Amino acid sequence: MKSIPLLSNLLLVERNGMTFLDALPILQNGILAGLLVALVSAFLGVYVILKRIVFVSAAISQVSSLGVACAFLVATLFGRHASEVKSQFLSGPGATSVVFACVAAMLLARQVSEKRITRESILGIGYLLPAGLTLLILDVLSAEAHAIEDILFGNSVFVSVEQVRVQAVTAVAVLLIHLLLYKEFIFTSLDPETATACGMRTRLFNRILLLTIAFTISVSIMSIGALPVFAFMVIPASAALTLTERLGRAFLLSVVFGVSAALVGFYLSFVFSLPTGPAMLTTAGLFLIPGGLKALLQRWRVA
Amino acid sequence: MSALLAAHDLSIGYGGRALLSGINLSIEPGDWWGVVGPNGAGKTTLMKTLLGIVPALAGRIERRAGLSFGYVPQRGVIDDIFPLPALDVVVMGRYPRIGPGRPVTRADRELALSYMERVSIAHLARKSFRSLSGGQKQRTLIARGLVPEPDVLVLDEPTDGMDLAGETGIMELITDLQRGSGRTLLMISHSLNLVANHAKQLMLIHGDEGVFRTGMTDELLNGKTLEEVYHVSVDVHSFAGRRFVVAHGSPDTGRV
Repeated sequence: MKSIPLLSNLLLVERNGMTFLDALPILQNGILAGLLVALVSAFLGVYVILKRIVFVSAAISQVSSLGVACAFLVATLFGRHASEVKSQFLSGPGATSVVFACVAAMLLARQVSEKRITRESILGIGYLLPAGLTLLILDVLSAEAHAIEDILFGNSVFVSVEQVRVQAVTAVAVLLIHLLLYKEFIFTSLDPETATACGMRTRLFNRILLLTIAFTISVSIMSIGALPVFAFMVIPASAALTLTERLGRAFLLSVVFGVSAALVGFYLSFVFSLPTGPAMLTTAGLFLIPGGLKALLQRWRVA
Repeated sequence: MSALLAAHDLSIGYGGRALLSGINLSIEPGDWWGVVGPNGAGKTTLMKTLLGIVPALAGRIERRAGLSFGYVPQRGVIDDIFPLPALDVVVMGRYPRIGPGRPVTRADRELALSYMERVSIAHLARKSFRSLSGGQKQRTLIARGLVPEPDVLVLDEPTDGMDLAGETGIMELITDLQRGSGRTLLMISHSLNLVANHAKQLMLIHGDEGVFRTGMTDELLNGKTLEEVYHVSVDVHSFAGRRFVVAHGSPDTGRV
């Protein structure tokens, strides 16, 4: 790789006495986790945008964070130390996070009569209450807040091998489900009533789709944090959908944008000593520019 | 059971609140039903209940074993955010028959294209659905309703918001399709004049008044019955083999 001039320049950029190439063995888990999160989230993001459920994913990520905080709270009440709970990640905070997220997804999938309370209000409450409760629990457990924050907000630089494995299994399982049920997810998302009339189990497919989103969010926020996961669910898909008239291409473009943003964002965070999550998020934002220019060009042509 | 579909003492509505009760209905093969009534009368709710989209509040719906439905919703329900070519929208009608985990075959796409030809939009197959005109979208949705080759096709306001040429084109298409295939049709419409000249059977609904009348169009389409449902004076005239429904205003204020 060092023989390719541009690549060697990029890899040999030095920061704090260490080149990016030298730092790769330390950073590789973080990069891998970031790429996996970006890949699955950007793919699912197309459904999030098409089904107009952006704030469902925001609410699920907050409820998932509450699940992590609750696991620590219960463990502390039983006299266990935060580092001990953190080490049993899959049976402790990881499991409660997934369960909380899946229950939230099932509740949010329910149709409600909007006469007294709108769906928007429910989503707002579903976002705010868990966020408030999580902050309260963090305050109560102030002595152990650092250990919890590591899981809640992610630490994209130092991700454990176990976490990368969980992320990889999640990615494969979610993409496999979507490969098998692609037709069903698209038809029931586009026109749920006609799909039901034609004999499809619309509610079941909608629940499975939301569960894949909830599962991905809850696993991913523990790798890279809630904000970048939310960004990967929204920005690459939005950018892709402004550029194409074909759904298949929208999925492909969204994944390419998401993975590129994760890779470039991670690299920039190393070079400029920036926080990794916001660097990835901002890089993803750059992919909105072509769609914006296309819209401007179309408006200019019409005028 | 000779009927394709039968409702016994059916009660329809939303959220436990009944809109109309005591509905008894029998739909036979080859029927061509027009479903009419004032706004909010319960026409769409009744159709959605028969289709299984909305659960019945009480009563029983009997469907002949293996009965399949095609549904043509109002074209506005399709969200323009989806970037799909018209052909892909039509092929969706095949998805329930293909089943989960199986790919769409060339035969499915060819069948979809043949129904697009039938409704005169095959040339639009690769065009984005969201860029089509209202009439072209409606034809696309009719092709999608037909592509599973259903026993019963239900259409919800297929001519809503169309100009005279569009409305005439869609009604001729629907009538031709029914005549050619003998398929059972149910069409919700606000336009009594359209239904009067195409449908063989009528369902007259007014949920608030508890009115639910069914019968042959010839028998049911008269001033007295329509006045009961719409609360306006109505005359039905025949001219050159066509029926014309003319409303005159509120019956208690006299004809205008």
